[in-house]
Amino acid sequence: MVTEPVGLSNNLPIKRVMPARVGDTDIAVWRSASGVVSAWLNRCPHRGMRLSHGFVRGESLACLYHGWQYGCDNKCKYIPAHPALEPPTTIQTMAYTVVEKHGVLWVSLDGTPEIPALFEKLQPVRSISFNCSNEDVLSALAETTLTCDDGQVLSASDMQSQNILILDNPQNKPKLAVLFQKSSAANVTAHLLADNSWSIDGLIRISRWCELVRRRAEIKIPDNRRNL
Amino acid sequence: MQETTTVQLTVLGDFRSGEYTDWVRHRANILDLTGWINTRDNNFVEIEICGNPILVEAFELACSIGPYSVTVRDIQVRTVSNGPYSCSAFEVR
Amino acid sequence: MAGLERAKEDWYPIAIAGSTVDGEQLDTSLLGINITLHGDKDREISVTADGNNLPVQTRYDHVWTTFSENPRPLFDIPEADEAGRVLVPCGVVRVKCSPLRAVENFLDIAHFPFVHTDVLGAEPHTEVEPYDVKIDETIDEVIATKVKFFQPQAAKSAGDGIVTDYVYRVAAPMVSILYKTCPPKPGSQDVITLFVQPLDEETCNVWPWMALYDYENSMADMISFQQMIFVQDRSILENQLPRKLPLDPKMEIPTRADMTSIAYRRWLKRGGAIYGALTEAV
Ligand code: FES
Ligand SMILES: [Fe+2]
Repeated sequence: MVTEPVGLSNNLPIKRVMPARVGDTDIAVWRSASGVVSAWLNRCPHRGMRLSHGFVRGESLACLYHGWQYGCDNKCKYIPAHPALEPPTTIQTMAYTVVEKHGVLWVSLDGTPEIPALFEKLQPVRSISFNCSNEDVLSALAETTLTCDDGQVLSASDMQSQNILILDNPQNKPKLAVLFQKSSAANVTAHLLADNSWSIDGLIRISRWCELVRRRAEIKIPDNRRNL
Repeated sequence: MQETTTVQLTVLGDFRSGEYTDWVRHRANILDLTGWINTRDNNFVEIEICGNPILVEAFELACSIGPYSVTVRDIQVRTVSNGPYSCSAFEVR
Repeated sequence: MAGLERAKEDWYPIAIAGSTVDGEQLDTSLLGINITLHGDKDREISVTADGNNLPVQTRYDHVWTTFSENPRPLFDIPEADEAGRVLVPCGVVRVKCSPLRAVENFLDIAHFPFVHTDVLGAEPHTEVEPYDVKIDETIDEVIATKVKFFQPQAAKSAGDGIVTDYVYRVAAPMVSILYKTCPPKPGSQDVITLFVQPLDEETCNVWPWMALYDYENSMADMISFQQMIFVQDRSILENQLPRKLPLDPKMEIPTRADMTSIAYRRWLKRGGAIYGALTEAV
């Protein structure tokens, strides 16, 4: 099954929680005070509140509704309505495998993460989300080019497996990778990774370029398909 | 070590769907409780349940509603003991 | 649709009394059916669905309607007629959740320290003490009594924190009435209600209404206090999964603090009031 990039590591600082989607599954990803990352079904075992609205307390995530706390081992640690109770270890969140690699957070629903190896030299640049379909983004990408610091012009080549698009230079060295995370039919998030040849100005150009792609991609939607 | 209590529940209702037993066992497992369930007939179920008193109460509460296919009309609770218990799992008798 | 026929037997609030002007038409929805409220010349209000008139009555400062020729009687709140109470309709809050979820949340006290922080609750006062809940067969209501909770600012009229006593009534599937300690008049109780208009199974309009002994705060202050509380609740209600209320709590873990919620679900199940509910555990 797919291993989905759900965000960039540096967009999830310690003591923060964020929502994400893998296929049809709504998940909550959070980082404890000591830096441990967990990814859970976005539904509190108590009464169904989305855990992504919760708050981190040390090594636990607390649900916003009644404050039940769950630790990095997915087990319930504390039930505020019954402060004297030591919750049984059988009360647990539904946890998924989350791996942090190449500055990206990857989630696998079936416990067998497959993380592509070709990004060893790439660094995260930024994430950007698009209010349109994957196809709209891809066709907007095909219409735009990006210039490297040394003047080479990059253009989008074919889509790789696992929703990864590589922008190569003529030597076939990946200069920029775009990881797609499909949230819904009408919403896509892309995470950009670049190699170390880019200057600060170059990184700013990448950032502007993806905003240009977004403007073009979102224009492609006829009005009656907007906000679906 | 937290305190332990053992209670017996007499549950009256309509259990013809046959879904109550598994539902109750699932609940006992989530709450880490031991004991047994015995379905006497379609209208009468006996349960013995043992563990932390707060969790035993949570168990009683869940058993008072059960799955949608079951109607629980009445549930009577009787404390059996407040000491340790010999059962190590939740059994269907 | 499951539960629709049963739901049609009840009265529902659709507007604040006196809020429509002559000749004004207001389109809204009830149980998934489009209805129109007509402000009339002589200030009589009429409500139509598909051109047909529906029964209408004005009570508790709201306009109520029903689809039934022979509806269940509107519940009684005797305190509404007590001299000296200020009656406060609080307006409307639209919530994307099942109407039953809105009522269930209103019956819940354990969320006060986390959702209404420093107003209706505050850590470390999170413990929920045992209380009594019963389904009263004779009046067909759910009643929770002896509910106690520490509150930093229980009402607009409360100064310091107090332990507040509560009694809850569920008088109809989509109506809940709360009686709570009244800070300025010891021995009396404030009445706060939640009247819910089911737009459909997953969307509702909530019309809070209060009957208080509070002569110090302005009407506007009391309304904005209650609205602030309810907007905090909305952030929960719109993020609870599933959107409909599960009558089988297999995927949840209720504890003693959720006794009212479970009694409410049992009562709904028993009465076949399953509009806005899920009958299977998902
Ligand atoms: S729903 Fe999460 S603590 Fe109650
Ligand atoms: Fe609330």
